[in-house]
Amino acid sequence: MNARIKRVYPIEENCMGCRLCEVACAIEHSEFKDPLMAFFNGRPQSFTTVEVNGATTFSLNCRHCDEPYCVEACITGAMHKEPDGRVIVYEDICVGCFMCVVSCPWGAVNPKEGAKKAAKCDLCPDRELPACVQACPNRALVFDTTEGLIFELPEEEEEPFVEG
Amino acid sequence: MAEYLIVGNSVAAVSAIQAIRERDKEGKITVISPEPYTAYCRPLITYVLAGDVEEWRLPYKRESFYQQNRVEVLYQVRLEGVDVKERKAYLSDGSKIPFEKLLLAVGGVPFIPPIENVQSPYVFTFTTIADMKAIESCLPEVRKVVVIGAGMIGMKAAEALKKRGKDVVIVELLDRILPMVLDSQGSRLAERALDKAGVSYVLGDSVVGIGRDASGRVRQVELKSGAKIECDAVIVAVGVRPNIKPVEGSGIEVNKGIVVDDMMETNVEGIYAAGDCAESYDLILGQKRPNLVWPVAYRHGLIAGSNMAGGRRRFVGAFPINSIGFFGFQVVSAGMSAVEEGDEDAAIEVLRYVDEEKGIYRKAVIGHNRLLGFAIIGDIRRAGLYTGLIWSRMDVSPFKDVLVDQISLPEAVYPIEGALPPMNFSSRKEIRRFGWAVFPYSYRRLFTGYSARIEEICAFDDKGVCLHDGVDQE
Repeated sequence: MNARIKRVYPIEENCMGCRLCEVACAIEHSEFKDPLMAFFNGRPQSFTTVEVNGATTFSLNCRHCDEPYCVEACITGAMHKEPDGRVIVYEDICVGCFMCVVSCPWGAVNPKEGAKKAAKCDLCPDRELPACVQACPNRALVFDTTEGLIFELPEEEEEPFVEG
Repeated sequence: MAEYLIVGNSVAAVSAIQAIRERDKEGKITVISPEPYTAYCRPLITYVLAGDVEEWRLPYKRESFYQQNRVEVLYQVRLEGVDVKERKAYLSDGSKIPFEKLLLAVGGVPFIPPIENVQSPYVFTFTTIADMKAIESCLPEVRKVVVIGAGMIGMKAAEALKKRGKDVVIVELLDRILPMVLDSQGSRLAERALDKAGVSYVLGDSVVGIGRDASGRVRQVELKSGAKIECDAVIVAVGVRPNIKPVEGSGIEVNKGIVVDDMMETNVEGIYAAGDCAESYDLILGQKRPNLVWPVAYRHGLIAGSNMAGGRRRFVGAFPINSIGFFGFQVVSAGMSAVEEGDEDAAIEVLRYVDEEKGIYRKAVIGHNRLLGFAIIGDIRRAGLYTGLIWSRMDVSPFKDVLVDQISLPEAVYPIEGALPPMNFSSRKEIRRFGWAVFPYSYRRLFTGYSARIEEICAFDDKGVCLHDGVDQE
C-alpha cells in the first residue's frame, strides 16, 4: 500500500538538545535560506521542536503518518498525502481553519507565522537530505526510507551479545 | 463483481470510494448525490459568503476524482427508502437501484425549532451551497439579520454577514457563546471579540415567533422574554441532526442516528452507514452517539469502505474535534470541553489557565485520570498534543499540575522507563521478538518507534488484551 515511507526518526539516546535542527529547519524554510536574512525578515518558523526533559531530549517533528489525522481533518483538501508518502499542505488552497492543528496528536502541524495557513514539515523537497538531519551534529536524527512498517522488517541475524 | 451503492456525496462518500478502490479495482460504484455538485466542503460556504474564499475553491473533489475511480454519480436524486429484503434503494426520481453493498452517508439535516412563521421567505438555514446562494441573492435587500443559535454555523454565519456590512444580532438559548465548546469563562472571551466587532448578542433567550408584514416579508423576531428585535432576515442555526428519515421503517436500526457496529455495519448485513447520519462509538462517553464533525465522517467512510470491499477494519471510536475562528477569536477543542466543575459526575476535574489580557485560555477536563476534553483559545500552537492525549487514553495524573500551564508536552509525559528497550533502529529487532508486549503507553515510545494510529495501538493493553470492546476501561 505504501511504496516508501519516508520520515525523520529521532534517536533520543544521541540527542543532546542543542536545537540546531530547529535553526536549520527555520532557515531552510525561510525566503532566502540564509541565517542572517531569515532572522531579519520576519519570524522564522521551525517545523521541528526539541522536547527537553533533563537528560532526555529528542526532536519532535511530523511523522508523515500512514493514515494522517491532519489529512482526515482537512476540510479543503489542502493537506494531502503524496504518492511518495510525504504529507504536504498546499498553501494556496488552505483557508486556515486549523482543524489539522488540533487533530495532529504530535503537535507537528502549526499555524504559519503571520499568515492564516497551516505549516508543517515537508521533508525539504529541495534537498537530498532534510536540513534538520544534515544539521544534527550528534546523528540524533536519521532519515529513514525503510519499506513497510517496523514490524514488517525482514528478519535479520541477531547481533552477538557482547558483555561489558 | 460487487455492486456498491453510496448514498450521499460528501467527505464520508469520498473516503469510502478511496477505501473501496484500494481493495477492489473492478466493482461498480454508484454515488447518489442530492445536490448538483461534486463533493464540496460544507464548512467553506461561510468563507465564500464572507468573500474570503472564491467560489471555485468550494469543491473537495472534482469531476476527475470520480472519473479516475470509475464512479458513476447520479446528481439531484434523493434516497426515499430502502428495501432490505429485495436489496433495492428507492430514489426520488422513481427509479429503483439494486445493490450488493450499500453505504448510507446521507448526512445531517438542520434542526428547525418550533417557531411561529419559521417557514417564511427570508428565513434561512445555512448548511448547503443552495442555502448560501439563497442568502447571497437577497443580501442587497437586507440590512439587519437575526442569527438563531451561537454554535459553529451560527457564529460563522454572523461573521460572514458582518463582513458583508450587515447588522447582526445573535440569539442563543443557553447562557454562552459556542455552548457545545466553551464554558461561561471561555464564552466571556468570545463575547469580548463580538463586542469589539460590533455584533450584538442575546444570551439565555430564544426566538418564539417571527413577525411578518402584509407582504410576507420578515420584519421582526419575538423573544421568549417578550423583547422584539427588528430585522429583515433570519438565519436558523440551532444545530444539525442525523438524517434518518430515508431509512425509517425499513428495518435498519435507528436511534438518534443510524446505529452501526464497530465495522460501521448496520444491523442489516451489507448495509453500512457513515458520516453525520451514523451513530457510532464515542471514545469519551463509552457509548454510541452521533458525532457530526468532519474528521469523524472521514474516518467512518474509510472504515466502512474497506469493510464493504471485503476488509475487516474496526472503528475504534471517535470524539468531536472542532476548530473555529471569528473576528480574530480562535478556539480549538476536542471531546467534552464545555463541562464545568460540579456538572455531570463528581469524578470530573477541570483545570484552567487564563490570561485575560493576552486573550489566552486553556482548559482541560479530566475524569478517572484520563483527559476527556480540552478547549484552547488564543495561542493554539501544538494544541494537537492534547488531542493525542485523549486518543491514547493515557493516565495524566502524574503531570496534572502542569497540564494547562504551557502548550508543550510536560516532561512527565516522557517518563524514563529504563527497563524497556529503546525504540530506535538498534532495538527494532526487540519489538519483533517481544511483539506488542514491549509497547508501553508512553508517548515518547509511540512517537520515536511507530507511526500508526495512536488509538489503534492503545486499544490493546500490555498483555495484548483488547481494551476496547465497549468495556469500561476503568
